[in-house]
Amino acid sequence: MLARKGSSQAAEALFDRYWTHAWRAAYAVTGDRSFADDAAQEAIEKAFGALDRFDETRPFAPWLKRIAINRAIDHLRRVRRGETLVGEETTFHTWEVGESADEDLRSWAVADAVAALGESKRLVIVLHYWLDLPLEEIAGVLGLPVGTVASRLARAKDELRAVLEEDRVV
Amino acid sequence: MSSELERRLRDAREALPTPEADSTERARERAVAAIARRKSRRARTAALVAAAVVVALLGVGFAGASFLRQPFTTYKPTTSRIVDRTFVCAHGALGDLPEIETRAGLGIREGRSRWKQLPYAIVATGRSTNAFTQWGSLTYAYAWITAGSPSAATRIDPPYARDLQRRELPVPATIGVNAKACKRSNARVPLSQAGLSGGAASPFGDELDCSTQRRFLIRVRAVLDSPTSLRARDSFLATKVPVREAKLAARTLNGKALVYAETFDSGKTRLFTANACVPE
Repeated sequence: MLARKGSSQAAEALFDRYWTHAWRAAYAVTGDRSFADDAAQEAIEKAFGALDRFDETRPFAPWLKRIAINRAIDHLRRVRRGETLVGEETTFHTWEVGESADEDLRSWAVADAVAALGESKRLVIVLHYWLDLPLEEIAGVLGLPVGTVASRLARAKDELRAVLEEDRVV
Repeated sequence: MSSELERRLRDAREALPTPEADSTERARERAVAAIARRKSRRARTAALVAAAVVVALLGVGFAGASFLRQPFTTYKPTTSRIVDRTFVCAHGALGDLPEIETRAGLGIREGRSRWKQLPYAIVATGRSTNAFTQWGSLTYAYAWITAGSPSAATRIDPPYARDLQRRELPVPATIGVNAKACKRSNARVPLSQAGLSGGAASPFGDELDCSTQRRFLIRVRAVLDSPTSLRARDSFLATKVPVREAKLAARTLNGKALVYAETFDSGKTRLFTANACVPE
């Protein structure tokens, strides 16, 4: 409410609470830090600029997450159309090493396998399992029929299972 | 099996990285500016309404309402002059020694404003290595820092900074990290000399070898002359923006300190290494 009235302190508090959330959603979709920076920043600006239209009876995080996802997908589409050159640091494999050995290495292997999927499969996996979107919502975000999303998800899981079984992760 | 896969998939989201401090600061400023713009628009709208009421009541024009001509609050994006990143690096698989080599040297001036040699510190592979990390003068470097503003004639890292004809090579970038050997990490790497020994580097260059495991951590922090970010250049993430001061730390994955180095645009370099590190 204070942020809506223009309080910069409230805006900072809101930012601190939700920025990482928005950024990780954008990163999960793009797999690229610079795109995630841009998409999350645009999402935060858009959300903050539209606070008047936000329904306060509903939670802020899912609203912001959805904006961040949409912005990130827009970035991917621009890249596909060749409007944006591949940005800096894209040589990086950006899934990060954690601190506790076995479980972290397994998570890293899973993240690697997800990253290695083709973009269409990777997106449905990421949107469903990492960003918790139901199939209907994924269909809306990607502009696809629900059945197509479901079959893509099934094929992506088959592919992941084969890779991760070979690596003895599952 | 499917539920096991689904569980692993959901767990894997914890491996997602977090945003860098510099991008967070930029986004914070823009977010606060977005709120300020809204406030400004609201104030302007309120002022317009009030002015319209006054005009309606007094029957005068808008000519004197200069505040209406004032622009909206504008935002000028800022970028950070501080680069602070941590990486997990891995030795190559083709017979590298499980050790890192650190090299450092003081700055050497040439006249008042030019540098013959920038103050520098480098963490590189050991001697037995595959050739996956060579770029310009930075032979087999995982990461390097400098300070000061190089000219075309400025050098670092003798005697390694030479081509096949033994000609000295220019400074390719003021700081850099090997993008093929290193990935971003969230691990905590203190920028501290605690537990290490050393001091001011020699103008002729210091060189020590430190045993480590296949993977190890590196953190680079630099205060630059102007805002920038590390960009992909060849196989490195690097910048050419001059550095005011920089710090470089290397640790094992278990947190054992191996190397800590500092460079300053005064020309000073300080290098500290673990006691187990041995001079070349």
